[in-house]
Amino acid sequence: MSRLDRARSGPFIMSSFSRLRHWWPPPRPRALVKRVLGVVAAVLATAAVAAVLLLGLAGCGGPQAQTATIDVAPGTTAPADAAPADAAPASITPPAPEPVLYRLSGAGPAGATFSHTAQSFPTDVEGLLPGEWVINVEALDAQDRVVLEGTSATMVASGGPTTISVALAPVPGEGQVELYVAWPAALVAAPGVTALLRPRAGEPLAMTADLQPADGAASCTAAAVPSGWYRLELQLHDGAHVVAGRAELLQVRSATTTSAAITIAEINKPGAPITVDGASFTLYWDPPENDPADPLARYNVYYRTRGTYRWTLLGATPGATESFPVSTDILPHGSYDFAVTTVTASGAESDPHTSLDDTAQPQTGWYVVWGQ
Amino acid sequence: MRYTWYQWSASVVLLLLFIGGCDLLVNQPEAGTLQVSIAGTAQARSIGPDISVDVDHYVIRGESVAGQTFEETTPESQLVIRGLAAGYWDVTVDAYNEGNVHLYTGSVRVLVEGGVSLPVMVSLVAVPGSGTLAIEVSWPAGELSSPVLDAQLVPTLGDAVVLPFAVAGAAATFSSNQIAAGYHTLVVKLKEDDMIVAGAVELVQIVGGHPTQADLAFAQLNAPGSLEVGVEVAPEFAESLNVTIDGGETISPFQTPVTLWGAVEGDPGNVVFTWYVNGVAVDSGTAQTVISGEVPGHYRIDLIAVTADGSDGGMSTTWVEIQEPVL
Repeated sequence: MSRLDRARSGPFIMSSFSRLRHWWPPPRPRALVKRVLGVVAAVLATAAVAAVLLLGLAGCGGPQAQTATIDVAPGTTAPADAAPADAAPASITPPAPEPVLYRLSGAGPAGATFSHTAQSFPTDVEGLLPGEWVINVEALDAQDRVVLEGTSATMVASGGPTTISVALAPVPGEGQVELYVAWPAALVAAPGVTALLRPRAGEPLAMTADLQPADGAASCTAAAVPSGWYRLELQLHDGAHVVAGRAELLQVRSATTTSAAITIAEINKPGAPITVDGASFTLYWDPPENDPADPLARYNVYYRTRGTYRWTLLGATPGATESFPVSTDILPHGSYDFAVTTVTASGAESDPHTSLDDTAQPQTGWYVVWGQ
Repeated sequence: MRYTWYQWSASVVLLLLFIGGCDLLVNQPEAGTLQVSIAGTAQARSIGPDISVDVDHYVIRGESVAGQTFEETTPESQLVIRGLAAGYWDVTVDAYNEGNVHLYTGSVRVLVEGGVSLPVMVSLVAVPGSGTLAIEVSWPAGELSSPVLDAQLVPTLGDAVVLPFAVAGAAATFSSNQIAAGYHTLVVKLKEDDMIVAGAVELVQIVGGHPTQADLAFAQLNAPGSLEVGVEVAPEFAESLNVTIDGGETISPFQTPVTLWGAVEGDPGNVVFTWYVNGVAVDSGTAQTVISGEVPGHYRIDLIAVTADGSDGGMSTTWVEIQEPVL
C-alpha cells in the first residue's frame, strides 16, 4: 500500500514527495524513475543524510486532521549541458505529397494547345508551334487529387528543343490538424490544454481538446483549416496556471492531415490545496537516515506565503522530534508552502524539501490553505 | 469761269453716281474669311500602287447656297480665302499627284459670317472606287509538303475579306480588281498543316483604277519546336532561416533576470521575431526578450522568426530554469 493509499484509508490524508534539488535537465517520466533510484543508491553508498520526513497536519479537525510525508535527500545537480527531452525545435508538417501522375497542358500561339501526361520528369512535348506558350502542370496523388500545381511561360523556339522548369506549389484548400499531447498524469491535478493555430494574418483558430486526464493526454483537433503555415501555441494548464507549453511552426496542406505527438516532460506544478480549519495543526515527518559521522542535530521548519518564493524560518525541533506544531501564535491564518531541512552536528543544513518537488507524492504537490 | 451744258450734265451724273454708290456700299453685307486646313492622308503603308501617292497639289472649291463659287489650286495644305459672302458654303478639297491622278477627296459645309475669319479642317479620304490588288507569296521550294496560305484583307472600316490564294509549288498568288480604294491591313499566314510556319502583316493602299502589286518572299520558315519540361516543388514557406538564441543562462538564480537575444544567420532582410515562454507569446517584433526571474520554474523558450513577406522563417528553442531562492 502506498503512503497515499494509507493516508486515504486512515484518519489522515497523507501525501509524500521527494526532493531532487537542481535537477537538470528535466528527465522524462520513465527516465525520472530511474534517476531517482540512482540518486537513492548514491545516497546510501555515501551514507549521506537521507531522512524521510513525515509531515502531519493535525489538530483543529478531529477526524479530518491531515498528514503528509516528505522524502528528504541531499541536493543533486545534473549536468547543465544535457538537453531536456522535449527541447528539439522542429516544425510540424504534413506528409509530403506523393504525386503518381503529372498532367501537363499548354496554350500557345494562334490558339494552339496540347495536353500531356507524365509519370516522371523531365518529359518531352513535341510538335509545338514556335512562339510563346503557357505551360500548366498538375501533380496528382494516388487518389487522383491535385496536390501540386504550377504554371510557367516560355518561348518555344523553331526547330530545336526548349527547356522549361515549372515550379509546383501545394494547391490551396483545407486540411486538418491532429495533435496528441501527453504529460506525466501524476503531476497535473486539474489538466487543461489550449492549442491555437495562429496564421500570419487574421484570427487564430482554436483547436478542440479532448482530455484524458487519467492518462495524462489530450487529443487536439482542428478541421477545415485553410492550407498554409501557422504558429502553433500550445499550453498545458493545471487549473488556472500555465504549467508548460511550447510554440511551433506548423503547416497545413489541402486534403491532408497534419499530425504530431507532443510529449511534455517538465511541469511547473502549482500544487493542490489542502484545507485546514482551526487555530493550530501539527507537521509530522519521518526521520532521515542518520550519518554517524555527522549526526542529525535538529530540523528547521520553513514556510512561505503562497505567491512568494523566499522561505522564512518558522522554527526548529531537536533531531529526535519529527513534528512541529503550527498555531496562530506563530503564524496567522493563510495559504502556505512548508519545507523542512536537516541540520547536522557540524552545522550543515540540507536543501529544503517542499511539497512542490517533482518527486512529491501525490506528485501534483500540495500547499496548506489554513483557516480561510 | 463758264461751264457748258455738258459739263453741268456730267457733274450731275457724277454726283448721282456718287450718291448712289455710297448707298450701295452702305447696304453691302460684310465679307467673311475661311482658313482652310487639309488633314494629311499619308500613312506608313508598306504596299502601295504603281503610281505616286504623294500629293502634288490641292484643288479647293467652294459654293455658297446663294450660288456664289470660288476655286483655288495650291500645293500647300493651308489656304486663306477672303471675301466670302456670309452664309453656308460647301467646301470641297481634291488632292492630286504630280500626274494629276485624283487621289483623295474631302468636303465640309461651313457657315461664313461677315467679319469673321473661320478656321475649317477638311479631312481627306481615298477617292471612292475600286483598284486592283495582285499578291504573290513565295517560300523556299521543297520545305513544305502541304502548304496552305491564309490571307485576309482588313479595311479601315468594315469586315475583313478572305483572299483566296491559289497555291502552286512554292508560291501562292492572288489577284482582284475589285478591291475598294483606301487603306487595308493584309494578314498572311503560311501554314504547314495547322502550324504557322511563316506570316506577315502589311498595310496596303489601293487607289481606284490603278493596280497595286506585292511580292512576299518568306526565306525562313519555322519548324515545329519541342519542350523539355521539368518541375521543381517550390515551398510556399521556405523555412530556411537559421535562428539562434544567445545570451541566456540555462540555470539562473531566483530574481535574476535572464536576457535572451535572437538572431538569424545571413541577410534575410526584415524579420519579425516572436518570443514564447511555455507557449505564451511574450514579445513580438523584437530580437530581445527578458525572463524576469521572479517565479522559479522551468521555462521552454521558443523563438519564431518569419520574414516580413511571410515567405521564409525558422525557429529556435532553449530552456531556462529559474532556481528556487536559497535559504
